[in-house]
Formats: sequence, structure tokens, C-alpha cells
Amino acid sequence: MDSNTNNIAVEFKNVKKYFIKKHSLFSKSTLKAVDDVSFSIKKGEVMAVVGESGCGKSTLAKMLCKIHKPTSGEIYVNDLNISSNMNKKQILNFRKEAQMIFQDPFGSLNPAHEINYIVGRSIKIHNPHLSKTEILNKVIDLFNIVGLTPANDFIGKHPNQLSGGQRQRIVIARALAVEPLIIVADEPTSMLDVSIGIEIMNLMIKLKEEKNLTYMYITHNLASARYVADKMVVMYAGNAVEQGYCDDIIVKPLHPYTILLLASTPEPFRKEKLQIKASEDLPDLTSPMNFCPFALRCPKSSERCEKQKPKNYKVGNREVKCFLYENATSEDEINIDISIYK
Amino acid sequence: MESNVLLSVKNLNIRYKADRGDVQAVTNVNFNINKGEFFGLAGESGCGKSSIAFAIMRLLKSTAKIDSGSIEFSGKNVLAFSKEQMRLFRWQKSSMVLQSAMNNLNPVLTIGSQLIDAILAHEKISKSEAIKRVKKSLEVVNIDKSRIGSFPHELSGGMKQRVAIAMALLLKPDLVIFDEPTTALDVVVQYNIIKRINQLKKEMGFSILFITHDLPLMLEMCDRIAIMYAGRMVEIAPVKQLLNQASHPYTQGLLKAFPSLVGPKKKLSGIDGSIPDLITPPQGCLFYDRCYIAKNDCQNTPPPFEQISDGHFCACYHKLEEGV
Repeated sequence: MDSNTNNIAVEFKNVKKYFIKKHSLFSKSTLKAVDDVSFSIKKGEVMAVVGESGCGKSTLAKMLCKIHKPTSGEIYVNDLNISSNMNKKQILNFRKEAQMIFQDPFGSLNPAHEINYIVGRSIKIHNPHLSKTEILNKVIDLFNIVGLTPANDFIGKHPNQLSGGQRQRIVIARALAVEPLIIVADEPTSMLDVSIGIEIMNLMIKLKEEKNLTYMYITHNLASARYVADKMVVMYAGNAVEQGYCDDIIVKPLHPYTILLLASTPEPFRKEKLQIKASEDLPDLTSPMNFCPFALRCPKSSERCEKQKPKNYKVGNREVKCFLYENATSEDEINIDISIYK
Repeated sequence: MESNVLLSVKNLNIRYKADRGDVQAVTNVNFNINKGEFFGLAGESGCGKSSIAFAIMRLLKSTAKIDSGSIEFSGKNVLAFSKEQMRLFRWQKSSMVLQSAMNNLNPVLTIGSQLIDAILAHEKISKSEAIKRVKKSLEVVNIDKSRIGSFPHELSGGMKQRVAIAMALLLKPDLVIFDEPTTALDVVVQYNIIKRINQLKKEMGFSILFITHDLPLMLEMCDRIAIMYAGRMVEIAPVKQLLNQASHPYTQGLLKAFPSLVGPKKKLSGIDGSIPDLITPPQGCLFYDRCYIAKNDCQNTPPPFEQISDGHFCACYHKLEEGV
């Protein structure tokens, strides 16, 4: 193994996840939720996974947390191949490395338990030797870290006594309790009011800076991806169509789907409005697709796009899955003719 | 001269009965919607924006009580309508698209029969004529007329929402209320629907009351925007004015809380604290606890909602001079 793999926290290598949908005893179809996705996240980096519902972004998150097993391909967390079979002890050790923050803070906390029990339990499972007071002290520390102050006032409360933003802070505290390497945040702010949501994003950024945490940040909102993340992967119909630094992608999107996504995001301060015409439905993921999944909606598609599947082409610092960039080497050479999108 | 005002809400007060006491959900709200206007009503959850929409349609739950105020539609007070007047008013004069409208379609009836029902309940025309109208209205929202016999489950979320919009426009109402019509949808779908709504508004000339918490979307769409906080109106202004010279600290806070796609990346901040308890609301300005320019006099009486420049209203004693 070469030396620079050490600073890579997570690596997806040609990961595929197919779900078998049974229609009846004799007929079934395969749903390609994630189809050949590769990317890596460096330690201390925030990687946003952006896309519409059904594009496979949550499936990626679930595979990273070992909730789903990939159909093929490998996922490495800290050089450990988690897509292979692991025994119980290995799985428990791995759970410490990857923790999840869910979308719905009202559904992800057990209403029957006190919040200090909820947070303390994950400490106890991973550190069985700690005494009750030691655990409680750790919980109080965590409450302070996530901004639930004064922490003592929160001890003994139940989730229903807290607001949505406070609950999400508890979920973050629970994730931090085991000192993970990576936190997978699946739309953590989409159920919260904006003024609360932005505070949660700020907390995530603060924790990243203080604890050198790595995140996989799943969102459908490009503006929040730009705010929180360093890099992003744009997903479409199970494919990673464009990946690179957020700033590059948002200033100059290359893949037609990224352009569509960006043009559809409301932004009152934007001077020049992108416009792109495309129908709105995702393709049928159960049909065998040996061509570009975006071809049917793409205003730039050619005959070739409907026959052949594009590879990932490297353009400067990013990778784009589109024939348009087959021979491009640097971003500066590319002049996208936006007029055809109007 | 005929007045340009279509809907005028005056001093509206709405209370909800709760176990601990009455919740003052809407307090002294005043606003007008002009003919052909795209009017936005924004605010965070629990600010009373949906209560206002339901009050206009008189669909508030039985625990709600309108204490005082009037809702005038073309000069007539909706709150004083008889049952029959109300039946004629709903859908024909004013219709509504809800956030979950796509789930409000009856799953055991085809969308065609539901749309035809809506016409026949209000107009005495033959069924074949109604079918013709329904086909036309489906085309208006970009759904192929062959889908008239489809059941709701055969359509995607975006299509169902467009059926709901087609239904709201069937009888050519003067006012269409959209209560978070696209929150449950993907951005691309949302963009297409909003674009379509705007086109239809231009063609058919109805007014829109658009309710959402998605401020960037609203700033792109609306002519005028009203911002509510804890049941009170805090600011009303034309979009440009609101973008450049938001005067209420809450509006400023909201505008600052949205990450942007353009411009330099800067650290954003939320608004600390939470909405006051509306069962026992504080005496003075309800935003006092969370406001960064609050002074002592804010605590005594709530600030009046007054005009500060042409068409720009604000309820604050210490209005901010500069924009964001």
C-alpha cells in the first residue's frame, strides 16, 4: 500500500447495489440503486452527495454504515474493507468508526428514554469498563460540545421536551459519543426551520475543525452543500455523474444534469439565470441501461449517448461522466455554450 | 374607479383552544392582495401563515376561533357568508393547493372523474362538455390528456401535484392559495411547477397567495412578500425592497440564514432562541428575546405595523436602516 492512502478515510471502489424487486413468484426485476460508483473522502474533509430523491444517495450512506451490503465493489474505511464478511466483534469495532445523523430528529430518538440514557448508551456499549458517573460526565461534556447548555438542565429530559433543533443536537451528540472517524449526515437540516438548520450546519463545521472529523453530507440542496462541504458528488439514477470541489462545480457545472440541478435551485442573488429544458422524471431504474442514464432528458444528447455508457472523464480537478468531455483535459479549455440550455 | 384590491385582510385575530389555555396564533394581521398579484407569505413553522390561508377559505378546525377582524374578498366579508354563499365562494372564487395535495387525491377514483366532479358540483353543464374542459385543463399543466383515466398511484409525485393545481384552476378562480405546494418535491420538479404556475398566472390573470418557508424561492417568484413572526406581521415589502432594504431584524436574520450559491462564502448565523409561548405571550415585541438591536422600550408595548416608505410596512421601533 502506498503512503498517501493513509489520509484517506473512506473509499468507494466500483460500488454497485442492486435490489431485487419481486413482482410475483416467477417474475422479478433488478433495481440498480447504485451503479458503479467510485470516490474517496480524505480525513477531515466534507464530501457532499447531491441529487434528487431516488438517485441512490441514501443507499450510499447505508452501505457506508453497513446497513446494506454492496452487490459488488469494495468500500474501505480507514483501509479496512467493510464490504467483506466480518464477525460480530469486527462489526462492533467498525460501528465506532462510522456514525449516522438522520433526517428526522422526531423519529430517530426513542421517546421512552431520557436523552442522557440515549447518548450514554452508545458510550457504554463501546466502553463497557466505564462507571456510571464516568459515563454521565462524558454525556455532560458532549452536551456542552453540541451546544446544549447549561448541560445539567438537560439531564433527565425526554426527547418530547426538546425542540427539533435541540433533538438534532442530541442525535449529533450520540454520534460523537463513540468518537467516530466519519459521520454520515443524511439531510440533517431538511426538517428544521432555516434559522435552526443553519445553526446545525455551523455546529457540524465547528466539530469538523475542532475534531478533524470527516463527513459524508447528503443533501438535495446545492447551496447548503456549498456551505458545508469541500467536495461533492452529483448523483443521478445511481450514477456519480460529476465529482470535484464544490466551488468549481457551482461556478462552472459541466455535466448537463448538474447544470439542470443548479438552474432549478432558486437563488435570488444570481444575476444571470441559467435555464434548461428537460422533462422531470427519473428513468426507470429497473430497465437494463447500457447507455447514459440522462440521455433521454439531456438537451445535448447525441445518438451515441443512447447507445453507449460514458466513462468517467477527468477534466482538471474533477471527473465527469459525459461524452462531451471525452477529450477535454483542463477546465479552462471548456466553454459551455449555455445558450442551448435556454 | 374600480378598486385594484382583490383580497383585504383586516385586523385578523385567530385563537386555538389548547389544554393549557388559548394559543394566540394570529394577532392583528393586515394585508391586501391586488388583482393579478403574486403575493408571498413567509415565516417559520408555527408563525400562523397556514392559519391565515385556512381562515380565508373558512376551513379552520373547530378548535380555532376567529375573534375579530374581517376578510374582504372583492369588497364582501367572507367571514359573514352563509353556507350557500360559502359553497359558491370556495373553488369558484378562491381555491387552494396544499402541501400534500398529491396525497389528497382519492386513490380509488381516476383523476378524470375527480376533476369532472369538481366542475359538475359548481356548473350546470353536460358531462361531455366537462370532460372536454378537464382534458384542456390537464394540458394546461403539461399532463397528456390521455392520462384522464389514470388513477393517482399511476402518476409520479410531481404529476399528482400538477393534477391538484389543474383542479384548483378548473373553475378559473380569482385567487389561488398555494400552501407550500412544492416542499415535498425535488428541486427540478419544483422549478418546472413554479415556472408553469407563473405562466398560467400571466395567461389567466388570477392572484396568488403563496405560502412557504423557502425564502429564496419566494424572492425569485413573488411581487410582494409579507414576513410573519409568532402570529404577527413584521414586514411587508416589494421583493426588491426586501432584498435590498429589509428593515425588521427578523427579516434580516432570515435572509442571512440562507446559504447562497453566489458571492463569497461567508459564515452565516441563525437566530438564537425560539418563538415565545403564544399561550402567555410577552407584553412587548414578541421578537424581543431574540433581537440583537432590542432596547428597553421594546418590552412595553408591541410595535405598531406602520408604513415606512411607499408600499413598505414594518413593525419595529428601531428599524434597520441598511439592507443585508
